[in-house]
Amino acid sequence: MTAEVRILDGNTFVVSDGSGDIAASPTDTAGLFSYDTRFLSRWVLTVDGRRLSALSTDDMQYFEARFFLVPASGTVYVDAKLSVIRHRTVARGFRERLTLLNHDQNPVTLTVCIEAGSDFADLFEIKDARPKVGDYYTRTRDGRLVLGYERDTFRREVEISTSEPALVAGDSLTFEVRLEPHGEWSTELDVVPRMLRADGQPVVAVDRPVRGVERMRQDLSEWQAGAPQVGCDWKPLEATYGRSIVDLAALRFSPVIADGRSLPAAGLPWFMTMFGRDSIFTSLQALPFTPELAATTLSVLGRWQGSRVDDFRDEDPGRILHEMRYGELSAFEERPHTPYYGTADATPLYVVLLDEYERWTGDTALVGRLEGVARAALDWIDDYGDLTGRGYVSYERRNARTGLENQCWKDSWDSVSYRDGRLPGFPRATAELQGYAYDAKLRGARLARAVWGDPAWADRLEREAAALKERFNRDFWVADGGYYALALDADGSRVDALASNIGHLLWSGIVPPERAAAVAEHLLGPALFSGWGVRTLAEGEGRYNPVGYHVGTVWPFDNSIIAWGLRRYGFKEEAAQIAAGILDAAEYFDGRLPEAFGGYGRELTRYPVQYPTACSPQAWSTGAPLLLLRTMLGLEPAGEHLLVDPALPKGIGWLELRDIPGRWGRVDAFGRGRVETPRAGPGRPSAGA
Amino acid sequence: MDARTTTVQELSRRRLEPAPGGPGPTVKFVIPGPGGCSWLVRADCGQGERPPRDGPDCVVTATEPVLRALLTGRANTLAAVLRGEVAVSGDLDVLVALQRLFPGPPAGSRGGAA
Repeated sequence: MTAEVRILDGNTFVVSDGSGDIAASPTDTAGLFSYDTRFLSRWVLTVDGRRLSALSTDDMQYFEARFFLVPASGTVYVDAKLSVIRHRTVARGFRERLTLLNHDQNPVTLTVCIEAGSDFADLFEIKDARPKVGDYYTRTRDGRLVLGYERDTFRREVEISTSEPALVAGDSLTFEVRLEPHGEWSTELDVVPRMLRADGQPVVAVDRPVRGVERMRQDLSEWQAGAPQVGCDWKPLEATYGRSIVDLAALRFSPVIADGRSLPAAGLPWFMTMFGRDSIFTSLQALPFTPELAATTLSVLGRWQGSRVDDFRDEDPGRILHEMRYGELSAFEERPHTPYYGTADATPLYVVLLDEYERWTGDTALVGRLEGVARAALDWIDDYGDLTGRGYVSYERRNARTGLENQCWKDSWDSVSYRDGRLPGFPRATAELQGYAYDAKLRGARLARAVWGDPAWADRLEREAAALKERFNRDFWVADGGYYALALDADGSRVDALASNIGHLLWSGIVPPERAAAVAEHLLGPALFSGWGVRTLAEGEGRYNPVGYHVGTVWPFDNSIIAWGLRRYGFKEEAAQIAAGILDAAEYFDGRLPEAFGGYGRELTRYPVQYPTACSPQAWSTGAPLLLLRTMLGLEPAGEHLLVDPALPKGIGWLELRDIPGRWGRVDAFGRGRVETPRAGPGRPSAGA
Repeated sequence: MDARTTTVQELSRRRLEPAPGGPGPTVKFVIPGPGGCSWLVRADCGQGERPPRDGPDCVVTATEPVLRALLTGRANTLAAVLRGEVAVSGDLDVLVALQRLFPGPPAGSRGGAA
């Protein structure tokens, strides 16, 4: 298969080869996907029985692509007499305008055929190649080809129609085309996926207008124009920012209950769904730029807040969801994602986002409406979230078969370890969860006073936060190392590896000032700081591996939160150093930061080594440059005003951010570079240093 | 009263804590087919004041066993909708709010389909 081309709108996306064809085996990831189901696994164009070769592919926008094709000749030395153009846009499913151009002086008659097929695989089934339980069918309906799959009352269909009449036979649509000398012919193919009940009616009767490509282009332009504008003498930063804003547009997902508004999905294309943690973190990162994402995240996650004890879904009253899915395996409860609640951090982080949102926007109406959700979330921290009764948020899955083992952001199996590499038992209380809980209580207290009119509750929350801070600093502090343990194990003993989680503690404010310098020193020290960023796990730890997913790689998202934490404690230069490293790395990735890259020292590789991952862009990596802009400029709301306290890495001579939205209306921020940071590779220019 | 002998109408009214004349949305439950029936419940889903509208805010149509499974926690609402066992029209937000009032699975069960 030639280069992969992906286009999408929300959770509908198409993955094809460079000629526009889809020819997926059960384990391939090509196809038309919608609501976590593959609706097309075969979509192959032939002319006179032969497949076509791609001359070029034009990725126009994230929602449209154009393929320029010629008949395969076997040699490049034969000029083609025929060109074929496929222009594909995502809309409900996708639309494809197929155009044939005859370059010959003679007329030609051609047989143009599209062969279609679908395995209706659930996203979770792909790669496992599991046999399907239900039955397939193929029908012709009013000149349209209908491919279907049914299992009991569950039915999914894809309907293919054409603007020019086609001969529909079996799973093919065939056109007999006569082209005059230098003539042209075209047809439009419309592919519409449907989620149906047994009676053929849609599972959900929603009247959502289908957006045409012009509307989508206009929407993207408005999105870009509505975001603050960046000016900088270091042009790669401008490019990275522009890339992030467009990628954030692509990552928007509009749940059915959001009334047309959007929240950030986790990653494109496999994670184009609502995730508690990812949607909250990305909304936090993007708050100074696109605050409407946070409003939708808060509303929709609040609506789906857990309300009962359900072991299969790891659901508790008050818990904020982890992940929502809509495919067959979720429908038949072979997977718990309707929704799945197995995350220990999304609940406190929800309250953190709610408060940060109010500080930026002053939207007390929304915060007022969500008081009940916030109360239930804060209650969860102390009852269902505290599995050991020691006063810490901890986790242990109740769904042992398909639930998540690690319910913190480092969710791979080996991410939480002792220094010697051993893995602790469960429940596990990771350090950053306690920071989030502490911050949630203080922010909840602020909102209780400022918006909800309950000062007694505010006092109680503050007392609880103070007690949590005291016991956390007693129980988690590794005195001989001068840092906080990664976690407490089931016995309450320290899981003593040194990891990037200590940076999140600065962000949450649970670190007393007298210990902050030691934490900052570790973060920027040689064991954790690679020169590009802070490693997830320190070099020298038992499980350290520079290309291990959560045990040595550098995560841009992680670093953006760490930089924010350093700023909170006044470590401006250290925050600028992290911003510089991550933004330098972004330049190597054409402005699109990957989920993670290798933890090799910067002086060793001279360039950031990409960690292989299926998803790009990833939402919180896309949000990282946005949050780093905030930390570099030192943006902080204070009442009705926005404080600006810049600390830019040297090499960035000047940086301005215009039209920052918030409760102050729109304001500009400006800064000049002063902080000395190391440079390697292209990096920032020496001018201004 | 035992959930197995209680009528599904009674189950819905008890579970949804009807708020007569209150601000909550109205939900119409429909059991289709011969011997079927329909009834209205005004539920307090914590959604606050709603704009007045003609007819119910949300219509939920399913067989009696499926509705009973939802109301006793033996079926999950979203999974049942995705399976095509429950038809929903009107304001979906109301259904999402409503399902929070349904109980969790009975102790010892896994959740599971109706």
